[in-house]
Amino acid sequence: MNAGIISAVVVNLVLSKTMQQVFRVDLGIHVFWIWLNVTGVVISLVVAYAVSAFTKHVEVKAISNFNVKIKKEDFMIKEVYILLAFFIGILVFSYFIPVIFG
Amino acid sequence: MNWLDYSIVILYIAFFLGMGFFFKENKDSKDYFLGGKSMSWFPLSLSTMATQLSAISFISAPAFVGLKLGGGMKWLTFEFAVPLAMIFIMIVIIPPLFKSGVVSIYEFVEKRFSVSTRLVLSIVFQISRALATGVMVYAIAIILQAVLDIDFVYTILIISVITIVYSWQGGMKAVVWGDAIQMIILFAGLIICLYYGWNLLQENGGLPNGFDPERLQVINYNLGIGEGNEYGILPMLLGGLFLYASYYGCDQTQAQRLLSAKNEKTIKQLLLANGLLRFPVVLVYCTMGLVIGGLVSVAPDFFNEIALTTQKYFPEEYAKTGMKVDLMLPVFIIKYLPHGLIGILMVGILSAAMSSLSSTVNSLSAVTVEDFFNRGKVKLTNKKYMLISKASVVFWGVVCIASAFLFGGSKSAVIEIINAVSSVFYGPVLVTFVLAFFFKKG
Repeated sequence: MNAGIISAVVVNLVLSKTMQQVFRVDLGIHVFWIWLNVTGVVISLVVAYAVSAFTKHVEVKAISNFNVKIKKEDFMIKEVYILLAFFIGILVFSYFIPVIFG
Repeated sequence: MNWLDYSIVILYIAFFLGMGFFFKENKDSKDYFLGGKSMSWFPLSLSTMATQLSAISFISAPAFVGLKLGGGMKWLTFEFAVPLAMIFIMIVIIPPLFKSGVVSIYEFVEKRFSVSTRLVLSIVFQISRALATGVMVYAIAIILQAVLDIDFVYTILIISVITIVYSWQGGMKAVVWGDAIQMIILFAGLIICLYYGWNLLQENGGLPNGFDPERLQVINYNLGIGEGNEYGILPMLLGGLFLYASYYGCDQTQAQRLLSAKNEKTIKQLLLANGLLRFPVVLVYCTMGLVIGGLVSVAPDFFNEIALTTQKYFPEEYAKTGMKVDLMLPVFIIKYLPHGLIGILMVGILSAAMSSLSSTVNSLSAVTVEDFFNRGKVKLTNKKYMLISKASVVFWGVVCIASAFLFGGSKSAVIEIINAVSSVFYGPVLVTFVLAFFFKKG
């Protein structure tokens, strides 16, 4: 896991605009910072899985009596429906803001 | 500000000190850091919102919408992913985290991975959050100095010392109830500004051509890659989803609010409320920014006053851009609102700062005590635990004050680097937790 965290953070720092400014280097990469959350997730996930595939003999730490699984039914609750409907609602509303406020 | 406004501020301070005293009975970690695990969704959801809303939302976001070059209602795109992230947290993160019964969420990481993983996440959280919060308090103090002519040293001390005292004495209950009250004051302040701003805009003849259509555009289709491409809908949805899932679910300041809930049903209500209420609140302050920004364009004396204040207090910024847009709202409050309401709005600005600071010091000390003192086989006794906890609230409070004074004004590379590091940590932190919950191998 550590390998995943470290590599993701390092790559993200290279992509970060602030760091490019601090060290006065321009790599010619301009990525809107919110993307860094996506790259962080993807890189750390890939590296963590890769490292664990290559190191087969690590002792597994399991927590006794602790087993969580996500089932399809978990998503079938009213809170999820409300939030999804609200999500679509704010997208539509925002699309029409220029008309409503204009 | 006159006597009436100052009395309101003093009353506010006295009330908060009283509240800390009222909640002073705290026996153990469950009491002090999780409010006895007895809290209901209503104060907790207001607290969640108040913790996240800082001075940025109250001062900088409206300025971005109304006045900043290239800004506008596209600020709202930050909100799109919030409901989706709430669903993710509700289904994926909460069941395992809540069942595990931890106080510091980083404890869970150690249970599945190694001590080093726990400590890395914990230390990054502690250092970055303490510094960022200090810098935030400084930013507010310096803006208040410009409009009130009160030296920022006093404002920093008042904000921090009062917050530390009630957080220290009352623990999580005082922090959460305080946040809830502060959130209500903040929202009332936003409505007051919107109402007065709109009326003044009409009195000044309104906008001849309506609002600038470019400022009204919310949805952009750019991909967020390449210079000047920002606020596109795709990066905002994907990036925002991971950012908020990480911030609301895997960050101690916010997750501690979830862990303080009575049961999982309360957490669902709290997340639902947060998902639904955030957008309207943000819409109100963005609209207020738009209206007051419009007023700046039709009222030359308002424009001049912002420029003059910038020239006097922020000469560097004046030379560069001619005005510090963040002064828009504070100058508006002082210039246009009647006495009494000025006091309420000042209390609102203080609330924005205090609600974030109080949650920060409480969570920082929860993490310090749990990850450094209460780790391993030997656990602390209740008495010793409380002693260390209270001491670390004071310790982190002092660190926040110190960082406000030391780093607030400087644009030092160290601070920039620390901020950059902490902002790129959200993705990896989220992955660490999700793997800790569901990954079968070591």
